[in-house]
Amino acid sequence: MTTLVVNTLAGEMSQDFRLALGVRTQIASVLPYLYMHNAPAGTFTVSIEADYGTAASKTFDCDDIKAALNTTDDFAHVFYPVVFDDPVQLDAGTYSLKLSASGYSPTGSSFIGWIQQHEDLNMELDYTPLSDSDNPLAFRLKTYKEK
Amino acid sequence: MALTVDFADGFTSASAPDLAGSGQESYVLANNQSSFTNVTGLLFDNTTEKSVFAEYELQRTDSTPSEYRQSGSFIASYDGSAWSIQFGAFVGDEMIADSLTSAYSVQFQMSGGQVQYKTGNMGSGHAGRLAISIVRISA
Repeated sequence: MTTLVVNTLAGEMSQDFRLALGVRTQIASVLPYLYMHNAPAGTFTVSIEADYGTAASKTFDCDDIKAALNTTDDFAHVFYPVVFDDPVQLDAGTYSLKLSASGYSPTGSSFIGWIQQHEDLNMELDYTPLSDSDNPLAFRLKTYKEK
Repeated sequence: MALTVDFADGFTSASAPDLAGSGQESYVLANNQSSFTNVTGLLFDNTTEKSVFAEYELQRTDSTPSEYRQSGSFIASYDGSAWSIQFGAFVGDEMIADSLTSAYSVQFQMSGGQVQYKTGNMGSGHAGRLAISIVRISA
């Protein structure tokens, strides 16, 4: 049994992250930790937001989530891989990973959520979480590195 | 606040896991909506819930800069044929009204299970948000 702490997606939600390398970081993919409850209709967008605007974005739907898991089940939790169509190179700085939706109407029986996990290298906090519901929205960041 | 989901072993399931707790949800409100329009995503389903309890923060800002904020609670209930919504005691600016008496006013109604709203005209650079912490009582 796994207990997940889930923030339901209504309008949009985002999680800040910091890139601290001395050189530009080339993003291979981002993987938000998503929870799908009864495969709601709608189109979802994952984007990387910078202070100058949107650095990258990609849309998907619940059929894409199912395909990634090779399943027909309507309930799932997954670090969903988002590979942007164009190369994404980011300078050191603070960015925001945003999840938003269109054509989506969450109800108590059908929704998408973003799962919270403890702070790690990707997800810094500037406060001390007092409970699981204070944890950051979880994701993984995959980058290209030169050999 | 967040939901907890008790998920059986594995990453997928054909049946619904048990949910508990409350969800925090955030909705965008546009400026100068003179006709009732949907609060996109704030929808109650009478087949799965009959009563909904929520605490809310209503915020509207513009580039003047002006900022208005009202915090309080509301209850939505299904009586067998229709949904109704009732706002209770609040703290802050009195934004929610039965009609658009001010530029910062917001008016709500139910249309079926859908929450709808109107807003006064606050001007350029408007940002409006209804953030709620909601508990849906299962039918």
